[in-house]
Amino acid sequence: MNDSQESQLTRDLRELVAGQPSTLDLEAIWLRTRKRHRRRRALRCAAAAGAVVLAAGGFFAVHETGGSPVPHSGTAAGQGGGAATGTTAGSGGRGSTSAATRTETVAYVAGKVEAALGDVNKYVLRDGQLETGPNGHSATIWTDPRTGNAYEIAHDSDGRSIAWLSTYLVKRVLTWKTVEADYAARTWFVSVMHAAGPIQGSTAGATSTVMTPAEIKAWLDAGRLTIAGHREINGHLAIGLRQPWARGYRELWVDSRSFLPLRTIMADFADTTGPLKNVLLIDNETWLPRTPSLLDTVNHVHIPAGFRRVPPPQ
Amino acid sequence: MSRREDEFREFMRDRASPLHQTAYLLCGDWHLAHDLVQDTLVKAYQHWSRIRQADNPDAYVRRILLNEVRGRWRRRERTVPVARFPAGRQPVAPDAADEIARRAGLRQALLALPLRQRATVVLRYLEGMSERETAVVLGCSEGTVKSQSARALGTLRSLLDRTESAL
Repeated sequence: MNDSQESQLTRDLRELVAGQPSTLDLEAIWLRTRKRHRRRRALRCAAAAGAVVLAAGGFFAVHETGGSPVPHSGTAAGQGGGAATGTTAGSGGRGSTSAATRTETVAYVAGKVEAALGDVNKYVLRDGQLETGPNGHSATIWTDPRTGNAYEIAHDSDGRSIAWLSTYLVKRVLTWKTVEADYAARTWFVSVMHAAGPIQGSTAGATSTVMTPAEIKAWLDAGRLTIAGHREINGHLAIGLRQPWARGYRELWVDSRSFLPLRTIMADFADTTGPLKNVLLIDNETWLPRTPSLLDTVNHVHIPAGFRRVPPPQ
Repeated sequence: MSRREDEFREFMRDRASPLHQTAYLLCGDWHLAHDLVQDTLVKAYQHWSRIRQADNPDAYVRRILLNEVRGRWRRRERTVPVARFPAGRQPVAPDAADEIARRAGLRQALLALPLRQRATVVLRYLEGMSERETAVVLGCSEGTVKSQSARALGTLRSLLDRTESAL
């Protein structure tokens, strides 16, 4: 179909639905909605109560001893499904094997993470990134959530480089500006790239260089999550959520107290022609106070002395 | 009434009618579409605390609607009438009734498409969504939207050509 045929299709579809017989009885729908919502909520409460009883009996209990969390796995019916699926001893004392203090469902954890992510502008995010696989690299990226600017120290097969990354919109067109200094060649360059066309719809989160709260929230909302277990990450007791893919999975590990992300793992087993072809991208996240020196490092370019400017690579 | 309820009712007022129209094009029956919209709104209300914070609550709710349609389709609505398109070419002079017949043909042709392709056409051409937005609602990649869209348009063109030839 050409453009005029597509326009005609749009007009025809509008004509088709213009014959809508009557407006919906919104009041009736509303009453039915409330009634069914109350009934489902009652059922969910009953299901949760049943799960707590199971947990008290030790069926799903996790015991934390000597600060060494024991991984556990749970399953979830999906977001909002309400079936309690796992419990944790929380901050139980050393050697404590006390009963679980709360029931952690996927919905509970997801809700807490969403709430915690609403407050990230108080921090600078440090992301230690490690990618395994044939093109593996490692990098540390500091991001200012308020400006979206990032500062990156990368290590790959060519050596070390530092870069300042800005992502912004010019008339709804995504624009990426990179100022990068290459320590091997002692050169630096400025590269500006534009997206092929303007963003359609909402631009929220479009300029972020890391997984934004909105993206994480969308991921949480997408469902198909399970509780991946509990483990210690950088001295924090973390709880994990896992989403399977057709050929891999994604995990989000969050601090079990603050519910801020501590680690994300993306496993992609799409290319499995050889034993070492699997790719695992691990991001270790640390939420740092917004000190003046850190903000300066992230938001302002400081080219090392003696470096020569060169054209950006094609 | 709580703020949550107020917000949801406002959403209902704004979006129920477009949802009804989309549902109609997906299932081909206004009454069934009414039921589908009701079920969709019931589910949306259950998750409203999350939906209201989403970047695009409308896309979220449309996805619920699509799942409802898909569920019905699997369960019992396989008998939605699908047009029989005459194969022979019988040229006649066009008249005023042609437009109506052509739209009726379009509805039938739409119903002849697989559900996913139908949804792609409705979202792209009735709702005016971009490929990216359509992909969000359908839970697939933009590439899939492009391919589904191309296939759907090809099928529609073929079916409509046959309809028009028969007029």
